[in-house]
Amino acid sequence: MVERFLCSLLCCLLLAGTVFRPASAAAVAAAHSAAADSAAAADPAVVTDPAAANPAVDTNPATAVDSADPATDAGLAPFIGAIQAAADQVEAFAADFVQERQLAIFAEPVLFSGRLTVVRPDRLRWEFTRPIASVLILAGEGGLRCDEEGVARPFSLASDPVMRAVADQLWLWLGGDYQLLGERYRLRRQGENTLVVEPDAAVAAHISQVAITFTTPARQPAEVVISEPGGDQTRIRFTALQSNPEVPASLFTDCRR
Amino acid sequence: MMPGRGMMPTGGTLLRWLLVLSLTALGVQAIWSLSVNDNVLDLLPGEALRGDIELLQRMGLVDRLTITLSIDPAAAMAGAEGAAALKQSTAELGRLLAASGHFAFVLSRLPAGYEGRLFATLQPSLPLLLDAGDHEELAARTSPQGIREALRHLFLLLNSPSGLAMKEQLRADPLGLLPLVLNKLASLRGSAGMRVEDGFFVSADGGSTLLLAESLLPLTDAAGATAIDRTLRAAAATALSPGVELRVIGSLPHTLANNRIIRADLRRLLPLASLLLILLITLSLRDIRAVAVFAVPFLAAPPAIALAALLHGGLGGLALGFGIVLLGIAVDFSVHLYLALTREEGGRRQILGHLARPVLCAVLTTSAVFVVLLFSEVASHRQMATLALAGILLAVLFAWLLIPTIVPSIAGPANNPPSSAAAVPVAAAAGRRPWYDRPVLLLWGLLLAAGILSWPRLSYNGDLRVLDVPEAGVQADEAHFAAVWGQQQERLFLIALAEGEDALEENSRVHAFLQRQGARAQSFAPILPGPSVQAANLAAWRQFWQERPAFADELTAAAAELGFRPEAFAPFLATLTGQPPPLRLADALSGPLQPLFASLVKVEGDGTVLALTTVTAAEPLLAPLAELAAESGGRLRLLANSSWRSRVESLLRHDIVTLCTAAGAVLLLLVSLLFRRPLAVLAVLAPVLAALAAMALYSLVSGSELNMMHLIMAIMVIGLSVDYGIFMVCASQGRMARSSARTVAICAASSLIGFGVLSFAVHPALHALGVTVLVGIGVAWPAAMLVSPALLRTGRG
Repeated sequence: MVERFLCSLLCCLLLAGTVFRPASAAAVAAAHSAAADSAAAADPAVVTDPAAANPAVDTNPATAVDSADPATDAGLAPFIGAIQAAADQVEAFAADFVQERQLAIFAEPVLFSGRLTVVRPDRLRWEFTRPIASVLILAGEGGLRCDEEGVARPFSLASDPVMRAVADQLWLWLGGDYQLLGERYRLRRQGENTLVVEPDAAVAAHISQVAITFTTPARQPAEVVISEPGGDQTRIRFTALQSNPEVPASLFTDCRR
Repeated sequence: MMPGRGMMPTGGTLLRWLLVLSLTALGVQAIWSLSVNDNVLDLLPGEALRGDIELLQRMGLVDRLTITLSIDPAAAMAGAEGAAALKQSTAELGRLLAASGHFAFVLSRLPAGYEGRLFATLQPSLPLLLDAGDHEELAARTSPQGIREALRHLFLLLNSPSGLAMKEQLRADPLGLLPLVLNKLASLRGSAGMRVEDGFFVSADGGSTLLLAESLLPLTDAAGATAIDRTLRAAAATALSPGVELRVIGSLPHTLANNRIIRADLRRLLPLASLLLILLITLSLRDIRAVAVFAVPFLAAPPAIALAALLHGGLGGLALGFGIVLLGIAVDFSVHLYLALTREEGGRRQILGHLARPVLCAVLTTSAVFVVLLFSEVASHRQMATLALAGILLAVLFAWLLIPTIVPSIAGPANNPPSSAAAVPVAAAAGRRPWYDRPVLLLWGLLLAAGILSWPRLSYNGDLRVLDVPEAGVQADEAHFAAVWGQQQERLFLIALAEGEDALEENSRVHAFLQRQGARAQSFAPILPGPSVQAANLAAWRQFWQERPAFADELTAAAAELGFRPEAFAPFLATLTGQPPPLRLADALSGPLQPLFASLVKVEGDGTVLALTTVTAAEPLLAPLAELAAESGGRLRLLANSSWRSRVESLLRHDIVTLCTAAGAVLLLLVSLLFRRPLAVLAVLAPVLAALAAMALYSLVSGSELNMMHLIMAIMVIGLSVDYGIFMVCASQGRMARSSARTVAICAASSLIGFGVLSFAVHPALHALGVTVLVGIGVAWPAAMLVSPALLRTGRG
C-alpha cells in the first residue's frame, strides 16, 4: 500500500519535470521535423520533379496489382515462357534508341535519341545524346542524374521517392522478369511478338497500355510503345542491340563515357 | 472477564469498539469506489501553471512515447540489409502498437503514396502559400531568361523517364514554383539529422528510425506505465528483427525507473524497519500485544479519507500517501495514553484527567499546523492537510476511546510502579539543577545560532526533477536519442489555442513573429497559414501578375520555340487570376501528412483547436514571446522550461514562506495562550526550534538543496516535535511525570526507525524523506528530553 502510494506520488512529482526534458522536447521536435522531410520534397536537390504526384508511378502492390489470368489467353503462357527464357540468358544488354513523344501539348512529335545500357539486376544507364544531352544512372540503391552541362546530382532511391518510382518502373519493363510483370499487371499477347501490358484502374488514368515488341528469334525488346488516355503516345525503338557485352563499371559511376 | 480496579466495564468497551468500528466501516464503504487520481495539476501552485501542464496533457505531449529503433552495431548487418530490417521492424512495431488499443495514435511512417497526394494537395494552393518572401524568386523565374530556363528544364523533364506521366502537372506549373512551397516544409524540420525514406523517419546515418505513440493510459501512473511497457515489450518481441534494438524516452522510462527503484528500496528497507519497530515495542513496552496500540490510530484512516475526498471532490495519490503518513503523528497520542494508563499512579479517571491537557494542547498545535496548510496554493497540499487533520482528530478520539479498553487485558491494572530511569529528567526538573543543564542549553543555543546563520544561505530547488532517480539506462537512452537525432537543447513550446480556424490565425502570427526575430521555429504555419495570411498571399499573388500583363504572351512565345502549342500551359495561366480553394485544417488532418498534423494539432470536442509551435530555447526570445503571449488574450500560451521552473519555484517558495510564517505565528500564539509563561513557551518550542535549526544546518553542511519532499516532511517533524515539547513541559508541571519521557522516547525512536531507515534509500525522494525525519526528530528528541526541562529549571532557578 505504502509502496503504491509512494510510487504514485513520485510519478506525479516527476511529471512536470519530465515533460520539459530536453529529450521530450526533442522528441516533439523530431516528430515535427518529419514533416520537413515529408519531403525530401522540400529539398530541390532531392526532388526536382513532381512525378510522384501521378498515380502512374504507384508502386504499391496493394493498389497496382491486378493479377492476370494467363488461362484467358491460350498463347500467352508459352510466349511469356519464351521471352522469359531468352531474358534469362541475358545478364546485360546495350542498345541505341530513339524516343518519339507524341503529346497534345507539342505541335510536332519530339524525338530524342540516345543509348541504353543495362546490367541486371540493378545497374542501368539511360543516356540521351540528342537533341539535349542528359544521363540517368541507376546503380543499386543509388544513382546519378546529369544535365547537359554534365553536372552530376547523386540520389538515393531510399530517400527520393520520385526516383524510386522511376527505377521501379524502368526495372519492371527492362528487368527481364516477365513472371513478375504478369503478377503485377494484366498481360496479353498481340500478334506474334508483342506483349501488351494493361495497367489496372489506378494507373490507367495516365497509362492506358504498354506494348513491348520483341525481336526474333533473340526475343529481346525491340520497341516499347506507351499509350496514354487522350491519345498521347511514347514510342521507343531499340537498335544495334548487344547481348551480354563488356560493360565498363565506370559507366554506372560517371556520367561521362 | 470481570473488570478490575480501573478496568472498563464490558458494556462500555463493546459500545466504544462498536462506535469506532462502525465509523471505520462507514469510511471503508465510502472509499470503496474511490479512484485515486495521479493528476499532476494538483501538485502545482497557481492556476496559470496548472493551465500550462493541462495544455501539455491536452496536446498529448505528456503521455507520448518516443521510440528509436536502431541497428545494433554488434549485429554487423550490411547497409541495405540493416536498413530493410530496420524499416520492417518499425512498420511491424507500429502496426502492433496501433492494434493494441492502448494508443490514441501511432506514427511509424507516412502513408503509402503520400508523396503524390502531397503534390496534388499543394499544387492548387500555390497562390495561398507563396508569400512576400517568395516574390523575389518568382520575379526571377518570370523574367524572359527565367522563363526560357524553366521551359527548357520542363522540356527535358517531359522527355525523360521520370517525366513519363507528368504532363498535367507540368502544364499547371511550368515555372517550377511548387518547390518554393515544398521548401516551406523545412520549417517543420527540427533536426537536420532526419530524413524520410520510404515514408520512414530515418536518422542521418541511416542506422535508426523514429516512432511516436500517444498512450491512452497515463504514463505518469505506475500502473499505466507498466501496462504500456508490457504492451511495448510484447510488440517488440514480435516485431523487431534480429539485430534491431529499441530505446524509449519520455515519461514512460522515468516512471518505470522510479517505480523500480522505489520497490527495490522498500523491499530492502521495510523488513529492516519492521524488525526494528517490533524489537522497539517488545523491549520498551515488554508486551508484543502492545502492537495494537500502534494500530488503533489507523482505524481513523478510512473515515478521514472519505471525508477528505468528499470535501475536495476526490483525492490525489500524493495527498493520500502523505496524508496517511502524517496520520502517523496520532500514534504518539495512542502511545501516551497506553503508557500513562500503565505507568502512572492513580485511577483511570485521574490519569485521563491529567492526560487531557497535554493531549489537548498537542492536538491543538498539531491541528493548527494543518489548518494553516489548508490555505496553501497547492491543491495537493490542501487535500493532504484535510486528510491529516481529519485523521489526527479522529485517531485521537479513537485512541481515547479504545486504548483504555485494551490496557487492563495486556498490562493489568493501572498503578504500576514507576520506572525510575524514565522519570529521571522530569524528576530532575522538580529538584536541583543537574550538572548538564548549562552545557545542554549552551549546545542548544549554539545549534539555534548555527541554524539562524544557515537559514539565509539555504537554497530551495523547485524543480521537481531533483526527485527523479538518475538511472543510468534512462540517461543513456536520452543521450542516445540526442546523439542520433541531434536534439541537444531545450525547446520552448508555444500553443495557439482558439476556436477552429482562429487557431491557425494565431499560429501564423506566432510564426511570423519568430521569423522577424530570426528564430528558426518548427511550425506548420507555412504550409497551413491562417485565413488572413492566405488572403494576403492571394492578394499579393494577383498583384504580382497584374504588374506583369505581358507575362502570358512571353510564356507562350518562349514555349512555342520549344515546340509547345499555345494552349499548352492554359491551366497555369488560369491560376493567375482564379480563386484557389482555401486551405483548411480539416483537409490537412485528412491529407497526406495527417499523422504529422495529428502530432502538432489537437481538435477538441467543442471545436477548440490547439496548434503547437516549438523553438530552441534562447534567452533573448523569452521576454518578447512572453509579451506576445500576454497580448494574445489567452489565445497563445508560452511554455518555457526555465521560466516555468522559476515560476514554480517562486510560487512554491512564496507559499512555503507564507505558510511557515503563519504556522509559526499560530503555533507561538497557541503555545503562549496554553502555557502563558515565556520560559514554558520556549520550553515547549525548544524541540521544534532545535529540529528546524538542525535541518537547516544539515542542509547547508551537506550541500544539498531543499526540495518539496523536505518541506512536506518538515511539517511532520514540526507536528511531532511540538508535541514532544508539550508533553515534557506538562510532565515537568506534574502531569504524566512518570510516563512522558518514556513515551516521547518510544515515539521518537519509532519515527526514527520507521522513516529514518529511508535515509539509506537509493531513490532521492525517499532519501530526502528519510534524512529530514532522521535529522529533525533525531535532534528534537534529545532537545525535548534535555533542553525543555533545563529551560524550565532555569526559570525556577
